Amino acid sequence: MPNSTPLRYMKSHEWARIEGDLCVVGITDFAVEQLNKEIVNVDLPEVGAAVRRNEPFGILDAVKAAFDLYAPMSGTVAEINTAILDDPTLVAKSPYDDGWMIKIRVSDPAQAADLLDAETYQRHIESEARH
Amino acid sequence: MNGTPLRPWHAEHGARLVDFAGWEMPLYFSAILEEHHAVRHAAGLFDICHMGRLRLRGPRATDLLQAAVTNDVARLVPGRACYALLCTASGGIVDDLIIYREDEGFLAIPNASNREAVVAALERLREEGGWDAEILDQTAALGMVALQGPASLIILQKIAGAPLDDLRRFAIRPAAVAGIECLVARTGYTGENGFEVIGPAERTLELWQAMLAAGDAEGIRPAGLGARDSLRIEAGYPLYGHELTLETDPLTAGLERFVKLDKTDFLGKAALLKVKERGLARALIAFEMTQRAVPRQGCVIERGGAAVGEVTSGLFSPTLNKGVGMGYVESRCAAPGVEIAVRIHNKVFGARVAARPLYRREA
Repeated sequence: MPNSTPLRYMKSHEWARIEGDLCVVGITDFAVEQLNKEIVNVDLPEVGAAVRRNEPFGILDAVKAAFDLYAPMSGTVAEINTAILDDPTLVAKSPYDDGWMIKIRVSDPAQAADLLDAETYQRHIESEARH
Repeated sequence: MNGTPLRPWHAEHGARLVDFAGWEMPLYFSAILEEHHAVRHAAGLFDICHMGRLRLRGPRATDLLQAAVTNDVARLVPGRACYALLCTASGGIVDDLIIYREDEGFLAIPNASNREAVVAALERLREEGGWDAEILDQTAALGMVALQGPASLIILQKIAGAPLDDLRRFAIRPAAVAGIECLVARTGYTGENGFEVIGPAERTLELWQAMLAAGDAEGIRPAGLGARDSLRIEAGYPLYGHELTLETDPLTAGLERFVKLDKTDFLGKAALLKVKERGLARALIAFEMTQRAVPRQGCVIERGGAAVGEVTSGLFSPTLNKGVGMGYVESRCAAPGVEIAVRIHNKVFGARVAARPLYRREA
């Protein structure tokens, strides 16, 4: 595996890790905690599907509510994590490793610059927690 | 926002509190799934103080209630309860209620969100009929908790002053629980054996704590509205605002056995007779997903690519381990086994009409 860059984040609590021309996507620990770790289902796109930056690419289901998953970058889906389809609890158990969701073959690498760095994301969730 | 007498206890014990019909209520204490399974396999304790407690008293209380609701309350003997609907003149559902017959009148339990509408409808009827009856809103004076699950009888018996094993389903009787004078009813909203216990509001916390202590060895859990919802959906019980609305009538909602069209006049009777004569265009169904997806309220139900209905309740069933729901569909699609599909976030997933309830406890 190529050496990965530091994680980047979205305000909607997805993380992104750039690996060459791929962008690996998952959800953050904060999101998992917000759902009380009760993730019961994940719906992901097919490999080859087009995804667009800031638009939903899948659905995360807690027992009572559903949440859209947003793409951090535009491109096509290169790979999906089928393990979480069979066992959605992996997302809560290991949000940054085994619980990753999709890998996007990015069409515009410059979009990475618009994502939040760790410090900015941290400030964002602290302000959200205050509400 | 309203708080029940147990609200401080909930906050101290880590509950995630949410606004429900103007009441600050626990959504869960530990986790919805855990609380759901506790009720199916051991016992769960629910704060249901937010529901209304209305007492009807006076010489014409029976006539008043009989003229209001769909079920035949005149036939109820003291110590028994029935389920009934209160409708508008056009047959729309104002609320669904449990009505207990007491020696001196009735105790009616409306939903938190509809308590005021029920009181208003009863007051209006009383004035129109000139009936000598009193409607007492004792919601604040009384507390109410639900102890539900296979271990509920064992737990309650430990702290009850008299045997309760002979209390039949939909029966109610006075009994001391933890030394507190209560009304104990064998009713519930979970599909499990269980009890609803009503006592003075100022001693509800004491009652709650005594039940938790008594059930410790059995694995009792305090449970929130999240589990209450997942349990009632599996058990096939309708919920106001989902299956039951002002735009829905009780016959379409599959509640005909609680509608006595042969009794004296009641609110909505003429309209419901017409509905029955015309036949039902839609029916309430339960369904399960055949593809991995979780349906939600408002999702469109399709058959052969055409819309045939709408989901009224949907969630991931902890017991069946799949997406399930209830909804209204055109009557021709309502038979168990019919293949349907549910449109979720603009994707279509396979589903099948199932027998209701989806879950039935072993006798």
